Amino acid sequence: MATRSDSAPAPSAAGLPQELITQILLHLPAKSIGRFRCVSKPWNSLLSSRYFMKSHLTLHSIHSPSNLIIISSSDYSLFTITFNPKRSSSTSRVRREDGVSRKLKNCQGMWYSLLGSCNGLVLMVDFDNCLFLMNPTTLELVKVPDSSLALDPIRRFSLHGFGYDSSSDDYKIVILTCYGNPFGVNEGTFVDVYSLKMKTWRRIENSPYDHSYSYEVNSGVLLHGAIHWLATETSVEDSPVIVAALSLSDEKFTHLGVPSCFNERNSSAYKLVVLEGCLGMVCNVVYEDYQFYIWIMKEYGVQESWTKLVINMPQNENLFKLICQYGDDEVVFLENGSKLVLHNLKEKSLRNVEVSGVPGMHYDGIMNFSEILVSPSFFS
Amino acid sequence: MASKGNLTLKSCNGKEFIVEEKVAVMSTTIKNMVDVDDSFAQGVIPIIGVDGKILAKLIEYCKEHAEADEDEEVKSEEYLKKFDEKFVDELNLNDLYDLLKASNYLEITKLLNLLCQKVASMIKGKKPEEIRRIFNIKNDFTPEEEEEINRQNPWAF
Repeated sequence: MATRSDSAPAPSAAGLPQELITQILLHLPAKSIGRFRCVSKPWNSLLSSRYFMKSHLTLHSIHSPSNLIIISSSDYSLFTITFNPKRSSSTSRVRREDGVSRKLKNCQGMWYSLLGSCNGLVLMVDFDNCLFLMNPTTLELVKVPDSSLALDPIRRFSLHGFGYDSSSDDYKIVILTCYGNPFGVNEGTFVDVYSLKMKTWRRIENSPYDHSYSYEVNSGVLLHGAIHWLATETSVEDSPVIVAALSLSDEKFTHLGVPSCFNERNSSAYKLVVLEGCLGMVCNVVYEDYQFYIWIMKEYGVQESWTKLVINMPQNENLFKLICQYGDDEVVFLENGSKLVLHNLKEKSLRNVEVSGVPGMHYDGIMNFSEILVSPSFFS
Repeated sequence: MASKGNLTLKSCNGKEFIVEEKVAVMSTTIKNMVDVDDSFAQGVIPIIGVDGKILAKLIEYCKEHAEADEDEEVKSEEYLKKFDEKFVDELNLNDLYDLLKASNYLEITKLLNLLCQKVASMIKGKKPEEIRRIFNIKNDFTPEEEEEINRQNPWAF
């Protein structure tokens, strides 16, 4: 290591060894990396290299996603929203926007639903039932080939999942297709897996569970390399509710128990979320005495570890729906189907946020994602 | 000689610091020296290329971040976050880059990450030509090549 003499020139980063410069660049947000590719040829090849992109992903994936992608409920176009950090309690009278919205103009189409998000990639479906993968940061959009395994769409519904499988270094899209007979009885759930690396669909073993429970919320939740859906153990009436988990590495189903008091009381759950790295379950009757309840599985796979998280909400008659985690400390709620509210889990405080430019929001059309440079056609 | 449980670190300009072993071994480099050669644990550990001012800063950081003893209260994440923020904010540019090099050499990973994050936040909004000046890099693209690269990354501007 070189020492600087007393007559050192003005401080400059020029004297830093290359390994340190690389370290610094790894800490940059995705956008700066894209911009700095045109600094020089060596920088361009470093910042475009697979090694750099992977290290960047590893470093940044310790944080919860801090961007939202939204399908407008009025014209079905796509937007991203990034909120400013919590503002200090200044008395300034000038109203300032709390979030920046951006219309994704090159992703035209009629977007129906957001199905999953992982490492900066978002899986979405349009009104023609075509699946697309996009990176909302780099605006790359890739159509996923239709599955030739798909069967007659009559009397069926589909659930989706998307995630990264570290064991095969591959991204996988999962479709569960549930068939029912004309009397509405479930006749089996086919499971198709698309590999981004192989670019092929494969049919794996049927799911052993009844998935009709997740009819309303069809996107699975990714955690610890598995995709999770609410389901019931069997098709028999009053069959206990479980969390069905499909491991992306061995492509086998297992299940996790829900809180033991849950099935006894005949409660119904609305959806699964990931909060602070734990699996969370949002119940239908969640809103009593201006308090919002979420069950959190503190220790993954341990049924006894389900803990009730209580969030105090404003004392008004508005309807709040939990969307997802935002950044490391906050949770996004949709208030009365039109307005976003952030709850800080650490400070236990709510903040109303103002974002203009998004014409209409809908509960199902909002998802979080991270700004990461992974390409949806990464393996080509 | 340092008493038991303490180590003596000596900067390149001859300044000696007596620090608790748990503080010193926050540096993987020092930890490896002590683990391999017992004489370091008894005598003086020379910290090559790091002057007294920078070494004092390093020790200040490591003292806060060293594991709490059994009879000590564990510091909260929030407290450490505040300490880190203040620590990097008070550094001038010279010290920032010197600390960066020193923490890299001494392998103090947490501090290295903190300082890299600081520099990254300083440069993240800059234009490519400003970056070239800061890092003294020559633009080796032809104008056509530069245009092509810009065309490939329009989302970044």
